[in-house]
Amino acid sequence: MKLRRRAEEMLRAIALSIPLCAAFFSPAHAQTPQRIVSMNLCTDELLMRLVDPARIASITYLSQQPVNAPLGLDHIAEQLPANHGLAEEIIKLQPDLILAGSFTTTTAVALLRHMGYRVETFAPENTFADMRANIRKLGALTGDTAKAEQIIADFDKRLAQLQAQIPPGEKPVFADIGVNNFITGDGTLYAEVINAGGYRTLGQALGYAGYRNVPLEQVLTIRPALIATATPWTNPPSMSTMALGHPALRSLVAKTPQIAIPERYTTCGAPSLLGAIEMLVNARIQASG
Amino acid sequence: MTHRIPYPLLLIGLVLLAIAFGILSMLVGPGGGPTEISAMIARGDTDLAWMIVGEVRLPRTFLALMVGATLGLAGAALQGYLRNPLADPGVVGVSSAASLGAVLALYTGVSLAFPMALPLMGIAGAVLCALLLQGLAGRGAVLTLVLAGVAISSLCAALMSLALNFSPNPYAAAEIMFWLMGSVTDRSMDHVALAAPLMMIGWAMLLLVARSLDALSLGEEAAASLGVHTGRTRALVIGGTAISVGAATAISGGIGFIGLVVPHLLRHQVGHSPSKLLLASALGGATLLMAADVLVRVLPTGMELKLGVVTALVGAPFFLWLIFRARTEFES
Repeated sequence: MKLRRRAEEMLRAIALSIPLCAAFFSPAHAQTPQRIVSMNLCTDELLMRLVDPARIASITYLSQQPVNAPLGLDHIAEQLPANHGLAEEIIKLQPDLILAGSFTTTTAVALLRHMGYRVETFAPENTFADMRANIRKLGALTGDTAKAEQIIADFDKRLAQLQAQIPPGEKPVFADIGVNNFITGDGTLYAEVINAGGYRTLGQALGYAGYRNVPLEQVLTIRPALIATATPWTNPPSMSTMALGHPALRSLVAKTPQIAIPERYTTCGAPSLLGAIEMLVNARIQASG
Repeated sequence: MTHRIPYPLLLIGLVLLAIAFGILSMLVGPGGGPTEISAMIARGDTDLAWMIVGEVRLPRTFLALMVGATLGLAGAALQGYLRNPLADPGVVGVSSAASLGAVLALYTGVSLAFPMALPLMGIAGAVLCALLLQGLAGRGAVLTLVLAGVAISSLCAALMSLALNFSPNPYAAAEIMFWLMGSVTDRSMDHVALAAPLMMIGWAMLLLVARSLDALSLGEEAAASLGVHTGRTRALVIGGTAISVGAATAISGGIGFIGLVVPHLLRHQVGHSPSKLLLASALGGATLLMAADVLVRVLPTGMELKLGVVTALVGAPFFLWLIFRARTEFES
């Protein structure tokens, strides 16, 4: 889940340590930016939802990968030029606004700022409220405040519609067991998504906050109502990924209803979250029906 | 000096102790004690309770028992055969060579296609190490053997790190801890089935040399005059150690100190008889490793410690104390 995204972004940051000839160049600050570049998977989605594709100079290559395709935006993502978070390729695009994550591609961001580009960073969203704040912030930057409010209203409307369909009763447990038995608890965007879909996470059921890895025995103390079927990296093998094939986990999965939520639906605080919530609500409806 | 317990009583005592720790090992764990497990059964989650007790705890208990017995037995056999109190599968490098073999089998994907490759390549590593030791140190001085063992251990650990760092799997590199320190956490019955028959073959080979070891304690020539076939004895000790330790290490990683400390703990109790020490050390090793595995589960360390960390934390100070006591005995 989150680990992969962090690893990919770290790789890009490392690639940036290649020294660059810093040419002095000051772009003109237009009132409404017309050549916007996004260097972060999560700002990609917000940008594509907010502004006309003609104003987007580039998004990350990640958003063009099928596994990361944001909900309903594939047709836009595949037509836009892609970047890999490298300062050089971004300079070439002559952007008038650059969007980046606050903890990713930091060396590129520092370099671009040093060269006089306008770079705006966005903190990762840990709640729906963070997501709404980031959408408003982007709307203010691009001069699309009304559209930003519209996106938030649409999200909230669809969220309310979905939640109205959740059958009554206590939220059953949804188990998403990651490599090394990593599970998610309270205080995370992931848990908020799962809760919005009518379930509790395994970490919440065990009383944990944040992400943590737990012994297999502890995973088995709670019977989940729904289980995520991960596709662990088994080739080349490692003991950590092979451990997901432990006979006890195999039989737990075999006797539990399963769901495979695309990674992108839970990675970013963005309207794609509705994809995950819809799948979970449907699973609840199916279970009660 | 302490009182000696009669040999049959000692064995019975060790068996009872092993049974006690075996039962304890089935009762404790992060999934909950007997109360929590009974509560699970009472609320109808019998299958979950069985998964915890039968599919997670039972295999780790079996493995702690069998790997502990292997290490205790191999330590006693090596010490008796080499007439060297420092001999131990860990010290002479057999454990790390076995780990290296297993690492190559696992991370190249060979063991995915052919599961038996895991213990077999562990054994191959152990055999190669034993042959190398034989060539380097032969039946030479204590120091040569230990130095050769240190060299082989370091080399194998370095090659293991190299192999793990080359793996494109992002989780592989962190698993060096398992191979260097050992663990039976969350292993399954599949693992028990892979290693158990091979470990038992190794045990049988080692127990066959009991008599010869007694004769060897009088010196090689005296032993030969008593009808001991030295070549056969050597083959059985090296082969038995390599097969049992190779299979054990391939499943549980390299666990130190059991093979070194247990024979020392029991040597006086068996009247310094190498043959009697074999069975006693096997039982003692099994008991000690099960105790260590219970300890890693009850210690409030967050994530479980690796077994080798506990055996070293307990074993190393004990061993230092042994050395200290031996020195004062020699000097007085």
